[in-house]
Amino acid sequence: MAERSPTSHSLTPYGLSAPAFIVCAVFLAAPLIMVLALSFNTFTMATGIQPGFRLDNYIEVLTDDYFHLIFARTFGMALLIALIAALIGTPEAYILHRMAPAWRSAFLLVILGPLLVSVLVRTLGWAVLLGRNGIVNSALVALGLADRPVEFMYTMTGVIVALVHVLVPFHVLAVWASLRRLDPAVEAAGLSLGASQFTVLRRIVVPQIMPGILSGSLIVFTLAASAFATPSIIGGRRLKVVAVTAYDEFLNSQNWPLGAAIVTVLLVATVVIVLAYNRAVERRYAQVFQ
Amino acid sequence: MAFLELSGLIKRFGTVAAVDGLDLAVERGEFVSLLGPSGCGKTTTLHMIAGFVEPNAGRIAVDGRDMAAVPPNRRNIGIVFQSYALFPHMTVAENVGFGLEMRAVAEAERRARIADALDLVRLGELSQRFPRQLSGGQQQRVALARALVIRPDLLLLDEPLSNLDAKLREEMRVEIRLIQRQVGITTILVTHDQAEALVMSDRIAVMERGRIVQIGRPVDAYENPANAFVSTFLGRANLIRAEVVGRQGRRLRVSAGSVEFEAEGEAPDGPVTVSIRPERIGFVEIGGIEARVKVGLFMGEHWLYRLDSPLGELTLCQPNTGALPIADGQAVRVAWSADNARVLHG
Amino acid sequence: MTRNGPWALVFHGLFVAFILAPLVVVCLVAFTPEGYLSLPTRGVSLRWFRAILGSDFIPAFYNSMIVATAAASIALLVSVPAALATARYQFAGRDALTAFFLSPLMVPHIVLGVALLKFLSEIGLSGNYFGLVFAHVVIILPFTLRLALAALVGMDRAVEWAAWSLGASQTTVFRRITLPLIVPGLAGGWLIAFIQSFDELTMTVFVASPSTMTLPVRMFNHVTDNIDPLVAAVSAALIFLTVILMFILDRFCGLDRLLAGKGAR
Repeated sequence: MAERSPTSHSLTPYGLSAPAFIVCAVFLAAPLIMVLALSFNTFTMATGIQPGFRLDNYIEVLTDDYFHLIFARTFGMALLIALIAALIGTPEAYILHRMAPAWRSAFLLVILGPLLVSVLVRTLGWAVLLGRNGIVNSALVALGLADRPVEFMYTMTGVIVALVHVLVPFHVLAVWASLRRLDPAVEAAGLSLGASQFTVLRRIVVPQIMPGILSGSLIVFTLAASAFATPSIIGGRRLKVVAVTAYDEFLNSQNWPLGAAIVTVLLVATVVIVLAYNRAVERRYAQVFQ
Repeated sequence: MAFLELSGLIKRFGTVAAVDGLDLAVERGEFVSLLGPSGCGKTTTLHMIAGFVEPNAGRIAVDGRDMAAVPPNRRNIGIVFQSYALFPHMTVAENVGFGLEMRAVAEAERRARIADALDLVRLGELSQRFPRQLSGGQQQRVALARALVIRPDLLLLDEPLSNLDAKLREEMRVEIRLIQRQVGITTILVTHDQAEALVMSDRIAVMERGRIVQIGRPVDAYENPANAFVSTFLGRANLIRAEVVGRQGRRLRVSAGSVEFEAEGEAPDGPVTVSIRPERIGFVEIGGIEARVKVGLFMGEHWLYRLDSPLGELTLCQPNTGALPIADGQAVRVAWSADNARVLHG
Repeated sequence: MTRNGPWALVFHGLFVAFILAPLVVVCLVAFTPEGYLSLPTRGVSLRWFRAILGSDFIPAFYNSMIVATAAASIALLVSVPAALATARYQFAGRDALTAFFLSPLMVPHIVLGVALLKFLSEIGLSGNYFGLVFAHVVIILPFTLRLALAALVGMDRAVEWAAWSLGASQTTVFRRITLPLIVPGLAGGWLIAFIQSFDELTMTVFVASPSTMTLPVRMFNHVTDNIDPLVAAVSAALIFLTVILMFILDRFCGLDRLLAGKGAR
């Protein structure tokens, strides 16, 4: 129902929104604009940061094989992580959905709770588990599956395992949210019409939770692409991703303009991928989304 | 001059006119129902009277005073909402006392008036409970007490009974009506339930698409529906397309298919709609028209028959006297008196 | 209720083990009596927990508490009126404004970190609490705003109208009716914002100075040098605190609803 004076141009809502607007304008919009401007400056060891409007940094980021490798590694890794998270997170969400309510709320807490635990702590756990003398290696050797410790630290495998762990709860959450909207009578109706459990799953459940699966994958992908703590601890400097590279340019090389260009490319790439994905998905699943 | 006057009221949401030129005059102490299907603009009208929604055009006056510039908290109007809208974090007594507190009524008088209001709705013992500890019917009474305790100029009831189960609803209809008479307060009821409107109101205003299409005493609206919409919305009706073929004052001769019969009303020659209430049609031995029972439905206090007739399908209602019902498929003859066949306008 | 088959339960068991393994391992290692990372096979010791007390993790913990408390409170204070505007008024630019307030969710924290590093050093605010706190306000604003909005939208509008028509002014309606009814939602929003802020590393690494260094940044710097039982003990203590907060949160409003939208978009 409309507010009392929808036609009279009351300033009240603008006044109410003003504090939040100021915070976002000053501490979000202004810094982003500044970093964009910064990315067009230049830097040399001798002179430091030189103001100006030059595309040197972008040319470097977009043509240098070193950066190609880092961007390809980052997005390839993010894609793989999103895929693995979808493959294990979707069935887990469905299993949760079919549990008795008491078990379900307990396990939801177990699976979603880690999202509240610092990423650093969870990454540390993997570092302990995956280290040369870590538990996974001890087990592999003891079980005779490997004759000497397998190197997980500073490998792609290690980073992917740890990031899947960090991010898979988001996927479960997204699928779980769409499962919650599912009318349980619809599944029962499918079964009563003679469909097998598998057919009900394939023909009735999956099409309805597809939006959840797709949005969960997008969340995992974008967070994986910009992840910093986990790749930096597990992957180290040998396996640099975009976020770690930007960190090094800013805090080690002091080449701020180049770092700014790197994050600008990351931001633009992420936004483009998100928008393109959303458009494609919305076109495909227009009816389900309504 | 009427106590509550609505004139030329218009409210548009976007391009849709929810209320489209509404006029209504309500006398002091009168109980008037706004009856109509959902989306007819009745709730929007109520919200404009209360001041929650500002009309795009038109005038609202209470006791001769224009309400346009008066905010809701200065209108002195009591409202009972469909959801009751009790304050969940306050006790029953605090709920009822809220309006008095806002009016800065002194503590002692406040307490006395809360007690009186709760006695009026027979909830005296429950004053320290919280709303969630009450049944739906009890919550409804608290809402009523809260609206009445401020001694409002006007009482607005927004579908107040629609969340109650059927039996309680019938009891509350009578109870609210009795309380309203006792207090003597001018009341507007918004409802989509025709039985509720018929039982409770002094007058019914039937609304359709943002306008009042008929207003009158319940019995008048029922007996002389202004159009086909009113005749089917207030009670049941057989609507028969017919042609006027002759006239004698208000008594018209109409023809429908192979049948000619007499009906009451005013209409020019040409096609008309005739409305006949199911309970005004009876089975006869001779005369009338031939028909065949398609199905007989047992409704408790009466039987409802669906008949095939030369006039199309007819519905007929017979009080349940204990006699054996007529079997499906049986050929019968049915008739009605001419003054029970109403020619409708338009 | 349909049941899960045996294979589903096996899968579920493995999944839960995968989720819990690193957390359990960190907690176990923290109790080791040895000077290096190992499972406490030769008895249990609290030596590493005692070691925390004298370490520089303690001032970092206080910094985190200050920043998270201030940021969550400020975020709540600015998002309640903004949520009121969005939930209760029709006005030009409403959707755009909401999208703007939620947009920090779309921006990777690494980008925000470098942007704020540049911005704060430009306006001379780097290295103090003020800049750090407001940097955190921006990233947790979407959470407090969403929960305030959900609380307002989930409320029966007629309750406010009833109070209004009973004679309460708009301010009185907010103070006596609306606010008490949305407090549980706001409390949940504050707590989740607090946790978000407390745990934030990626952006804070750029913004915090040695004097305002938060616990995650301190831990990150420590871990890049060496991973030892001390940092495991700090982690175990953090897990313990988080579990307590988690139960409080779950009581308040259900974890799954609170976390919805923690990710991007």
